[in-house]
Order: sequence, then C-alpha cells, then structure tokens
Amino acid sequence: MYIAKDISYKIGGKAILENISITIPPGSLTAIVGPNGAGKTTLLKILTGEYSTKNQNIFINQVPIQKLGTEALSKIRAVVPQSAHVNFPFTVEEIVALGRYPHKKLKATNAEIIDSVMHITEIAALKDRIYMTLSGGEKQRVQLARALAQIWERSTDPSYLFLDEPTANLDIAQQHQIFEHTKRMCGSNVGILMIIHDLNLAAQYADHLIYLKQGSIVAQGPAEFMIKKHWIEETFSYPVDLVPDRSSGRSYIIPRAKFENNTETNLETLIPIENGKFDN
Amino acid sequence: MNLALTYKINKSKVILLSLGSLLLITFLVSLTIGAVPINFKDVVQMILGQIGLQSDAISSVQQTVLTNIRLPRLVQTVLVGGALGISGAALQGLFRNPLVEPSLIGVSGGAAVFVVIYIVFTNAFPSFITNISSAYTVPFFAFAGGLCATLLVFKLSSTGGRTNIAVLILTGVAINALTAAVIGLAIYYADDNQLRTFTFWTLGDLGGATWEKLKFASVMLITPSLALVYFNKKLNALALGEAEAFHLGVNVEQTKYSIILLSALAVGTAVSISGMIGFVGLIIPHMIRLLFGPNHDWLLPGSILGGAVLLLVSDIIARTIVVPSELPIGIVTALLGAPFFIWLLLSAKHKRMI
Repeated sequence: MYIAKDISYKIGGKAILENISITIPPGSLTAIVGPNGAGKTTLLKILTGEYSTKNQNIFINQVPIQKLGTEALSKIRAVVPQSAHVNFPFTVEEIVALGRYPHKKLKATNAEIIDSVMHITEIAALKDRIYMTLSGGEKQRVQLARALAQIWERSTDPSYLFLDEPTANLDIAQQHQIFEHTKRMCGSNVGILMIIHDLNLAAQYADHLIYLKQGSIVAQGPAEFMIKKHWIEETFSYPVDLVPDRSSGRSYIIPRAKFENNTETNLETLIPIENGKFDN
Repeated sequence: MNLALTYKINKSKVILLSLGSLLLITFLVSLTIGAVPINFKDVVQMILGQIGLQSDAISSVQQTVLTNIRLPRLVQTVLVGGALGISGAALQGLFRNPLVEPSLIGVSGGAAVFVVIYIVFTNAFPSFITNISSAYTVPFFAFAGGLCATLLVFKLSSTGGRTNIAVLILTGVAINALTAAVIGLAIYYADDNQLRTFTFWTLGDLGGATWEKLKFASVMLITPSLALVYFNKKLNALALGEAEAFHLGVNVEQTKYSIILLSALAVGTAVSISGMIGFVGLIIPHMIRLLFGPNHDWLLPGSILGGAVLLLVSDIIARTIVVPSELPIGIVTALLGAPFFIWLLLSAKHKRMI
C-alpha cells in the first residue's frame, strides 16, 4: 500500500496543495482528474519523491519515503513522464534497457525482461529504430515499456507505477492501447496512479477516482460511485450531461457545448448556461 | 535473438579495440616523423634496446631525440587529447546538449585570464614567483584560473543544493564574456613581446614537453579521465532528463558536480600544459556518436582514444607543414574541426535532428 497523509505544499508562500490524503492500493488503477492548475502534477512529483515536503507523511509498504534512498525507491516505483525528449540518437531497445538501471542483474536476465516488456507494449518491431524519430504514441509506449522493465521483478511487496497524462496527444486507438497495457499490469501486485485528462477514459478504466481542484480533494472513492454530475461540475466548473450506455451499464460524460450548430439543439438548455448557471 | 545479444555485448569491445589499434598505429607513425630522420626500424630497435634485448642500438642523437623529445611530446599529446575528448563527451551528456564543449563551464576563459595577467603584469608579482621558470608558473596560473572560473560558474548557478543546467549555461556565457573583457584589457596594456607570448599560448603548444613536467600532469590528466569513464550508466540514464534519471535511482546532483569538477580538473590541466586547444572536446564525441551510436558505454572511453588520435594527427600536420618551424596546434585542430562541424550541422539539419 502507498499511503500519503496530509500532504501540503507551498511555492513562494502560495499553497499549491492542502491536506491531501490518498492511498494507492496494489492491483488497481487510481486516477486523478481535475482542471489545469489543480496541482495534479505537483502531487505526482511529491508522491514519486521528486519534490520533498516538510512533513513527509508518505509510507510505501509501511516504510516512510525518506527512509528509502533514491536507489531503493527506484526499485519499487517507476514513473512514465508526460513526454520525454532524448537529444541523442538512442535506439528504442537502449531506452527500454535504461529501465534496468537500478537492478544489478545478469545481462541475460535483463535482456529477457527487456524482451518481455517490448512484447507486452507491442514495440518489439521498433527495437532498432531511433527513439527521436518515433511518433508520439510510439514514444509513449517505449516510455511505458521502460517503466515496466524497472518494476518487473515480483517480490512479496507490491510495486507502484505513476503516469502523468500518458495519453495526452494520442489518437483514440493509441489511448486505449496504453490503458490496456497498463491495466494488464494491475492484476500482478502493482498499484497504479495516473493523471488523466479525459474524463471518459478515467471513468472507463479507473478503479478509484480522485477529483482534485485548487489543491484540495473534492471527492474520492471507487470509480463506479464517483461518476456523478455534481462532483464533475464542481471540479471543472462547467456543465456536463451524463448519458447512460445500456450495453455497458456505464455513463458517458458529455460537456455541454455552448455553441452547437445542431438544428435539434434545445434552446431552453442553452439559455441558463449563457447566464452562467448550471441547470439539471 | 542470441546472436543479436552476443553482438551487443561485444560491440563495445570491438569499437574500443579498433580505436585502440588506430591510436597505437598513429602513435608509432608519429614517432618516425620530425626534423631528425628516424624510421620504423630505428623505433623498434630503440624499444628492443630499452628492454635489453638488443645492444647495438641506434645513434645517440636519434636515441636522445626519441626518448627525450619525441616520446614525452607524444605522451603529452595523447593524454591531453584524451582528456579533452572525454570531458567534452561527459559534459555534452550531462547538459543533454550536443553543442557543449569544455570551455562552456569557464575553464579555458578562467585559465586565459590568469595567464594573461601573469604574462602582462609579471613585474607586479613578488620575485620568489617570477624567479621560477615560466614553464612552471604559467601552467600553475592556468590551472588555478580554470578551477576558479568553474567553481564560480557552478556556485552562481546553484540554489539550495540544486544546479539549474539552463542557468549554468547562461552563467558560463556571462563568465566567458567577462574573461574576454579582462583579457582584452590586459592585452591593451601589453607590449609586443608579451602580446606574442600570450597569443601563442592561446593557440596551444605541445612542444617543450619533458618527462619532468609530465610527472605531475600525467596523474592530473589520467585520474579524472578514467574516473569519468565510470559515469557511463548514469549519463545514459540522464539522456532521458534529470527527473527521469532520478526516478531510475540516479543521484542527479552528486553526478552533476562530480562530472563538472572532474572535467574542470582534466581540461584545466590540459590547458595548463598545452595552452588552449579548441574543438577536440566538441567534435570527438560527435564523431564517435556518428560512427557507433550515443551509448556512453563506448562513447566515453572511445572519446579518450579518439581525442588522442585526432590530436596526434593534428600534431603531425603542425610539425610537418611548415618545416623547420611548426604551426601552433590550435590552428590545426580548428582548421580540421571547423569545417567538420559545419558539415555536422548541415547533416543534422538535413536529417531534421536540430
């Protein structure tokens, strides 16, 4: 279990995060959603150990984060960045192999793991390509493969994977591939925390959902209870409609457009929005 | 799969072995070139004579030229070339920027300031310093200046134990502008003779190497150069970015100041015994990367060997092109380096890498 209690963080006197408490249970995907500037990325940086706070109330498998050194931490948690630029022409395989950096293992063992993660993320065919020349979606899969290679070893203690908007700038097929690859990790004693921009993707894939707004948590809980109109509207300060999908039993979140060129647009629903009010 | 794996494991060794052989051949060829005619047979005989296998050795003039003039000069060339090469490779890796060269962190500028001040204002220094031969005092001032400037750049760009790389590059630019101004000011007060001495120092000089001078300098060149080789894995991880390297378990701050200080030590020593030799630290890492790829496992040791080869070749040209005089080495490396660098920029632009 990855537990953070009462996390607060200030930059230059301005509070970025206030009293955030969250847990990341192993074997499930926890998603953070919220508007830009809510403090999502800052929270992720604190949780991954990149930023440190005064009262370090973060416990990873019962061990306080400050007791784990940089090296010990790197063996149980991996991070997929939003985008990673590499200025030198490294090959895909070399980038994935970097995930094995914390582990002093035999070359053959490492090579096997690198091979496995490249197959899981479907980048085996790209392994000799230059990373810089890949498309956005391919790069993201390479970064995911690298992170998977980093926490591949299974011990009795769970490991954790953090992803900062891994599907930003990807097309729908690529988005769903990333989620499927990531979900495949869940079953195997890995706790996943993901910042997700797209609410429908979060609703579709997350087990737990956290709404973050202006540095505070609006609501959090199991995803099936969390897709509620009022929480979404409060978090994003924008009206939405929930459309139930009979085949899956889930609801789709549709932000209400202010200017629709649809002839069937109901004027009555448009008027209250122009007045800045949210109707039902 | 297995075949590919074996190839991967051996790639590093194959590259380094071929570069090593190239260095050995260049070294032996270089030994035979110079004002006193000495051929391969003489070199072999001399080596055999030295290890006591053959007594009817070569003439005493040849013997003296080889062991006391040519050999120390070539050893110095190899060590300086290697130190410049690996410092360039390590700093480019650290800054994640292929256009970085060692002078960016202020080493060369700082060294030049101290040297020009000493040359121009010698009279202002106490006699116990000026009584010592300038062959020792100039290297000392160069080294001290290089280290001071690097520490200043480093200090100015650090806040709360963290060093911001973008700020560091800008600070380097500012310090280099400042050193250029101070040098200009000193030159304004210099007489013709001092000006000539300083100008030749800035163009680099591999002549005048003796075993005596090399004793200390070789330790100061070899230690940081070899130490930098062991940052290969960390520099590979840093290629992803500082945050990503931290996530992989790299102690980023410690790595940063270790690499900067080791490079400053190596380049400072190189500048102090050979003057300013440009371009080696910039283009050698590019050559190795273009030929074999960017992996620091071989880029770092390869840059030592490549730097040594390039400087040996430049030295051969410098010694032979205007016989019986010789060209300052810095002119040759720049003449070889600048066109190469332009070609590199054009090809990178063509491949849309920049």
